Amino acid sequence: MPSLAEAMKKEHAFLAGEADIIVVGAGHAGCEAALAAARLGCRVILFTMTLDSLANLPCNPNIGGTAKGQMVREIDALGGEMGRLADEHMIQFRMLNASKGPAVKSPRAQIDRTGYQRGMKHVLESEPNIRLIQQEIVDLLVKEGAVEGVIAATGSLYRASRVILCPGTFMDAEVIIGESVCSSGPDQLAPSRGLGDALKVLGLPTTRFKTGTPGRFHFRSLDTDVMELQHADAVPRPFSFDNEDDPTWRPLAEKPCYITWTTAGTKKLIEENLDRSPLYSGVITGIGPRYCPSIEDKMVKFPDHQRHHVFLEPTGLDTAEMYASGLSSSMPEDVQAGIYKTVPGMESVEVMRPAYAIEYLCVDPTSLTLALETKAVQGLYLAGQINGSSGYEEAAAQGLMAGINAVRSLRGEPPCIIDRSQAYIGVLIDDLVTKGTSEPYRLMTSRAEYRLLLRQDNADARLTPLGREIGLVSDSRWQRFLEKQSAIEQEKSRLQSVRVPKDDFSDRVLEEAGSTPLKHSVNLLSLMKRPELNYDNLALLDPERPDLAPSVRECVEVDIRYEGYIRLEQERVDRFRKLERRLMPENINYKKIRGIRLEARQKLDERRPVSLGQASRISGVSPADIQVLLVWLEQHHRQTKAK
Amino acid sequence: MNSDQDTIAAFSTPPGESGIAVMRLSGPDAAAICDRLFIPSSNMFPKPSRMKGYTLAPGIWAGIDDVVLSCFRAPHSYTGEDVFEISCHGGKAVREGILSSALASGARAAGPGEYSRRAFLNGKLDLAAAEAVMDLIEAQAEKQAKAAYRQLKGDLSNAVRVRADQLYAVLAHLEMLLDWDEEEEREEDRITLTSDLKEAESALRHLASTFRSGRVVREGLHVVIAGNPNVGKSSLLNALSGRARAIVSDIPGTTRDTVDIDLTLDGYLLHLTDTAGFACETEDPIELEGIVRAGDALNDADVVLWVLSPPLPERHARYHQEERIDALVTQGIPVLLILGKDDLRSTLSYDDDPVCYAAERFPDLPTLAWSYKDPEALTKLKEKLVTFIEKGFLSTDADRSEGGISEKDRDCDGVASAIDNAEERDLRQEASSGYSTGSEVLITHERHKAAVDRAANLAQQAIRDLERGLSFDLVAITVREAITELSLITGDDVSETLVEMIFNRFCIGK
Ligand SMILES: Cc1cc2nc3c(=O)[nH]c(=O)nc-3n(C[C@H](O)[C@H](O)[C@H](O)COP(=O)(O)OP(=O)(O)OC[C@H]3O[C@@H](n4cnc5c(N)ncnc54)[C@H](O)[C@@H]3O)c2cc1C
Ligand SMILES: Nc1nc2c(ncn2[C@@H]2O[C@H](COP(=O)(O)OP(=O)(O)O)[C@@H](O)[C@H]2O)c(=O)[nH]1
Ligand SMILES: [Mg+2]
Repeated sequence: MPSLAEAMKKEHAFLAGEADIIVVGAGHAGCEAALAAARLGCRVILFTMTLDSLANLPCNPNIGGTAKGQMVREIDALGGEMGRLADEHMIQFRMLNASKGPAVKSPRAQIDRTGYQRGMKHVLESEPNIRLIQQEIVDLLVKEGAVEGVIAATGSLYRASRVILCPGTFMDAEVIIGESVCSSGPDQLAPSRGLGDALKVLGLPTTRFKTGTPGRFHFRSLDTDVMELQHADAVPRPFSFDNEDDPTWRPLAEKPCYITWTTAGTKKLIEENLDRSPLYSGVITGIGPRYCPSIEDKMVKFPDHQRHHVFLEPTGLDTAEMYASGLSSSMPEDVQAGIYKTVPGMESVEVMRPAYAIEYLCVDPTSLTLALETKAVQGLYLAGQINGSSGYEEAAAQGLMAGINAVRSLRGEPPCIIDRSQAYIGVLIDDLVTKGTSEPYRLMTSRAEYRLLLRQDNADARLTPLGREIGLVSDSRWQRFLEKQSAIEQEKSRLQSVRVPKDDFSDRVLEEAGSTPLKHSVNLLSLMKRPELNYDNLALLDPERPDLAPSVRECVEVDIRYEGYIRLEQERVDRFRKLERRLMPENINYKKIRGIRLEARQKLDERRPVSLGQASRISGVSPADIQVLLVWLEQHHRQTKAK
Repeated sequence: MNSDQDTIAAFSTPPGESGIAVMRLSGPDAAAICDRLFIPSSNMFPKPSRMKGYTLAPGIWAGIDDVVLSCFRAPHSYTGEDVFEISCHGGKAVREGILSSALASGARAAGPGEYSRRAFLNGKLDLAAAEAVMDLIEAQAEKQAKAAYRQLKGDLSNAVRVRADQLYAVLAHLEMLLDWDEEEEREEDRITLTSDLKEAESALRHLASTFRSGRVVREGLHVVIAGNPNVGKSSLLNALSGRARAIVSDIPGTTRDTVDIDLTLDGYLLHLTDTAGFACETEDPIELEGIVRAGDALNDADVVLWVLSPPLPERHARYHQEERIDALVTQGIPVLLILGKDDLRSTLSYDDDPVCYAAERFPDLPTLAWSYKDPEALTKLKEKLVTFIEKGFLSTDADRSEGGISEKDRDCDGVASAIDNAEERDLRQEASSGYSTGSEVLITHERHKAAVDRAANLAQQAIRDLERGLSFDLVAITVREAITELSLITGDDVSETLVEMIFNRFCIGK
């Protein structure tokens, strides 16, 4: 691996550009990284394989969903772009899990795919600190363990002391459809060759993962009459705080989905052709995600299921392409065609893009710090699917954090690390970096220990102050944020001060709400804690109620009704933080600490956790090892103090 | 996970019968727990939470015993936290009662060396002492690793594992609904979840009831030999002890008083009590007194060896005997039926054969064919007793055929595991009578029992919450906590196991 000086010695060497930070890849990770860094005042160069496909949504163009929806709101609260753009290009909105409790209520939107890409390109082009360049990057410039820049396929050199790699599913990518295997990125885009080798030379541990996508079909060829219709929610909600409570905000459209089912015929056909499936014939060796199985996978793993859901979802405002959620496959095209014939409403479907699987190179994320910097090369950051994750939102969150942290390191500031109790972003990054992953990683709400605190309704409250501190929250947004928080507090104290008398009227209202009469007069706040009561059915007992913004009302209601549980969760967080705050000295020699078991010692030595809390989450490190470390740390601390 | 924020409880005096025993409670909730359990003997003494600095107050602990409470407020205490010491009478029942009431009120049983560790972390021990703590913890870590390994294979852990899996299944179902099911809530899910939880809860309650206190390991097992006169009780005792202690004779009722001997078996202490037979027609006051004592001994037993030998008694006496055995079973005292004088079996008619009788009348009780002439029977009896001590249940004959338990991995309750032999036990005794106080075996057993109890209570709460119509996200929190309790025994990484379970059980993803 050459240094910049060495590379410059070559004949016709061309230093084509210089920046504070270079971002390679303009997918969801790269775009957020570049925007964050640029908005924090750094000069950024952003590379992409092609300017015609920025922020591509190569799978289902939907943003949000369980855990992911919460995270989009977190990205927005910190000052990221994804939420705003999704709001602008939304063609369908649904709030998932509305009846299953506030902790899991998750916004999800279908997005106009090309509109989103155009929108992102416009945002990037409008950012004065970003230079957007179409160039394939094939190598890195490294001097004495620190990154100095990158080398393009053309040989041109670019200098920066911080480089963020976000190449997504492009590195050494192969697209597989049945027996056909070709070297390609998603959507027929050129794969990235060379960059993967460079990472291997640097000693980063790599592996190959696999993912896949179903076909796209012309809308006119679907018999939607035999399918079940699924409508968008009547009341759409924006992701971004900027659009919250804005009565003029609307999605672009409210396009429905269509639901159909696979049949016994589907099952039979797949079973007969399993030997031609690259998954089972051994053509595909990369590890695929279990939460996103292909249809053949589902048939094999759950033979008892007689049928599986298929959702046909719109992919844009002005396109006829429909995405068939549930029919992901890497079967040969003729088998795919046979499958569609067995699905009601799809019998005579016009395939516009066949389903395919893609295998790509990624890096073991345990080789990163929590700031997403590689431990091996100073100044080199990785974000997005390269880190073994999957999903647009997961990529965007990492990109944002890598961008922020690259800037902070440039300024000599400590990194910004979000912990597991603050945000899904923290859960995501900690899971990846501390535990690693053996399949493409998807965020789920069940991965969060403090799920009740990590809600979509309070994402702004949790992270806007941090975003402000980082420097990505504008004055006007900050002002609005403070107003919202004080409105919430005001309403809570108002509810506490309004007393409901015990009389015939209150008896009747309560009875109608399915509750029991009062024993004596109480305030509204405590009344609202009854499980069967809420803002709506208490309206008659609260005539003076002010006109509240829906978001304020939602927060007040959750805060009050779940107060007990939230407090308990908060206590658990306080305990968790205690271990997180016990920092490990950087040059700690685990081999010298007696009492730690061998396996744990090796893991600790290799991963080098920053805190005792992080150490406790490494697999192979037992509670007993943590006790030993706890005592050792205290001992060490006193010894250093004594000196 | 064990946390330094918990309030911990353990006896700080050595185990065994003693005049006075002292239990120590340390941590932020120590005062609150004492408030709940301790009633000052007069108004002159303040509530525990009002006690300041170093103060004393006599009173009653949870209705169990008259005690003296000593209060040492943070930071002026051994651990640097709020510490309350309860000095109580030293009997086993009192000690157990006091400890379990503290555990039930929110304290956690202290882990080995935990008091010292806290003392050190709070700056109460100097570096030299810390070295020693380090040594202790190091030793413990090794033992725990060993224990964890054994527990993985052990019956206790397996039993807990099965129950934990039931809870995991419930949680996986919940999480599947929360993370992957985009439909709104369905009533049938609520119903299935409730009934699955009920099953899990009752399994946990059952498991908890089979645990006995670690006192057995620590202080010895009280084995009472009972049966009608002349069935061979004293001979059994002699065979176990290896020497002639009790008087053996052909005259029924020779053993008029109880005879106690202590002996060690595989490093465990046994207290054997030989009782007078329960001859019901006797008028002899001495013999009657013996029968009364025998009854007392039975009530105190950890396990009863009930000897049935030919010839079987008359109907009347047989009825009395059955009544007594049934009573023991209802009291939850484990009974092993010793089918004695097995050497005579070939000469017996069906009606006189204890084997047939036992199979008919007590099909659920474990049995052992016994003859004082058969050395193998003695080996088997010893094995059964050791299994009982280690695993908490009496194996049936079917289990026995798997061979010697001493070769098998013994369940090792936490640190108790480390006690493979008497020698090691002595070592531990030393450790716990030194500066470290919190490593009684009793605790680890109690700890597991307490964990299972808490898991069962949480399952119960989740059931109530489901019935009250609480949302699934909140129910999931409670179920997860229940699993976390059990993970203290199984050593699971809860998140990992859960995710695995979700993917295996449900067809997920569109
Ligand atoms: C077929 C397929 C199916 C998928 N299915 C799912 C799914 O079911 N569920 C799910 O959650 N997610 C799925 N995804 C994943 C989701 O698309 C990605 O996780 C997400 O887009 C990753 O974002 P990223 O920013 O890391 O990379 P990408 O969005 O892949 O962007 C990579 C960018 O890097 C650029 N680039 C790459 N190499 C170079 C180079 N050497 N030089 C310059 N530029 C470079 C590319 O031009 C591109 O702009 C799927 C992806 C594909 C391709
Ligand atoms: N054949 C045979 N005789 C036994 C056995 N055990 C005890 N005996 C005899 O039975 C009689 C009563 O024994 P003892 O132990 O005093 O009975 P106890 O009254 O129940 O204590 C003695 O004569 C013993 O020798 C045995 O296993 N086989
Ligand atoms: Mg006798």
